[in-house]
Amino acid sequence: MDRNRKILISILGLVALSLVLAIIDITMNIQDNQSPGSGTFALSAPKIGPGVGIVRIDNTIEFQEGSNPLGILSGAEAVIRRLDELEKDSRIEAVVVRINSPGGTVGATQEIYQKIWRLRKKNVPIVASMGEIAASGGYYIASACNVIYANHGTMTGSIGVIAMSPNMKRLFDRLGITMNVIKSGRYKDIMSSFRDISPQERAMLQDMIDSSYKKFLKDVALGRNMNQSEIAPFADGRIMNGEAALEAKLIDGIGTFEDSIMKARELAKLPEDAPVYDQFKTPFEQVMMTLENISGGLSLFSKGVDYGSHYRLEYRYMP
Amino acid sequence: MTVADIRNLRWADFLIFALVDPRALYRQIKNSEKKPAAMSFLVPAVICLTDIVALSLLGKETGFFYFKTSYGWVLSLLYTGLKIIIAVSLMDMTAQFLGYKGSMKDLLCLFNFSFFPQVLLLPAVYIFRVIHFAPVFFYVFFSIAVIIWSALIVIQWLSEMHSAVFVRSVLIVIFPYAVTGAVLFFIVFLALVVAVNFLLTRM
Repeated sequence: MDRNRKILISILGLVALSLVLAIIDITMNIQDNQSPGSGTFALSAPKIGPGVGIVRIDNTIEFQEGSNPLGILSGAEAVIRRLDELEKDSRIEAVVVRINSPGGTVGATQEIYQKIWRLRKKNVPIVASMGEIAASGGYYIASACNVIYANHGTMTGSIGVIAMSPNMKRLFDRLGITMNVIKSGRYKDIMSSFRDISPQERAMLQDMIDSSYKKFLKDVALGRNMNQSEIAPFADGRIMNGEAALEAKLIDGIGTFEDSIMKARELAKLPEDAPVYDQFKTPFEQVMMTLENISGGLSLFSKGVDYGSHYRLEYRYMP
Repeated sequence: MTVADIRNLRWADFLIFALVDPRALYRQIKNSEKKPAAMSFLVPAVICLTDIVALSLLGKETGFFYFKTSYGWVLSLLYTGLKIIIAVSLMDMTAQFLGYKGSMKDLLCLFNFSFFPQVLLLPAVYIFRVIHFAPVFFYVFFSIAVIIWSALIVIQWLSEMHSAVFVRSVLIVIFPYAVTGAVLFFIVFLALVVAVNFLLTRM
């Protein structure tokens, strides 16, 4: 054989050898990266079979306008859509609701509560996992679940309703600004910031607040399988940590998100390694959401003061 | 390609010449009765696989590696094939524009063989990966080196093919990349402008 040909065959042999060794090396690394103790080797480990679905409730609970340019819903609408998906997904045997929210508007909170309640009625075990804060509306939603877990330092409770609006009458008087209000009825501009609230208006709003509070208490009692009288002593708007909430029987145990998933598996009689179906966002979606947040920040500055959180009834902890 | 073709080891000569004497490679392809077109496409096919594996050596791999080396390899091969055809067409067009005779089939064969030095990338990177000595740096370094080597091969056989001076051969090689680069740059730039404005007006 020609010398040059021998050299070339050697080069090709070297390439083939490195290819085989590299593939073996990578395969062994993948094996090492598998969870210890499993003892089995899976290729891509696609999530299949019955498992636990995760719903995440973050920040203020409220219905937000439309969707972002990618068509991704946010706010309460997104939570309801996610619950709907899980309800229809035949793989989902249990649900963990991860809550990290100080509460939000009455309507949005009640709608999510009802959605979870409907799922619970279908005998789907639901476990609430409280993160940093799950107060007021956040707790309202948690109470719809079969089991509630919170961390020791989770801020929860704050059972109550609040509505507020700024009164700028005196500021406007000082500046010499008056508002021309043309209205069809005497209460049409109720909670107006440009005048003092009348006793009748205050009474009317108080009725609404009381009614929403009663509904809150009733729903929590129903979800927790307790009497309203047992909850009432703690339902004065006070906030409490996980330990105090456990003593007041507002939660079932101190535990992390992982404990909640394990509990959900246990309630659904799933194996310990049953898959977890979390809300998935592609890296592209994450980038777009970040862009949207940046844009949101800019629009806040351009609008000046944000009064979005006023002039409405809220199940919300507002320090 | 038959078993006899494989056993007579004539194919090895094409690869040797691709590495050591691109001008001789051109002469051999031009004079051979049977053009090694099918065999020439084996070179990019192997390169696509070794490239994927070399890149995978640099990161922490998951089971996705097996998808990369199967479906991903086919995808990469199709993409490379398309890239080769576009580059060769543009080179041929440039050559004809400069007054030389066009020869797509020979060009295609030669261009495929010019990728051959890239097979050395995998063993080179693997050595640095095994000794844990800056494998990423050496991957980038060797990638640049083999690209330059491939470009020099193309320039040399173009020079031989068209009996052109070195500068004209360089021009024939660079022109397609300059054109595609400029077009792609404007496509990406304009797409970004449109996308950002779309997002800003929607938010």
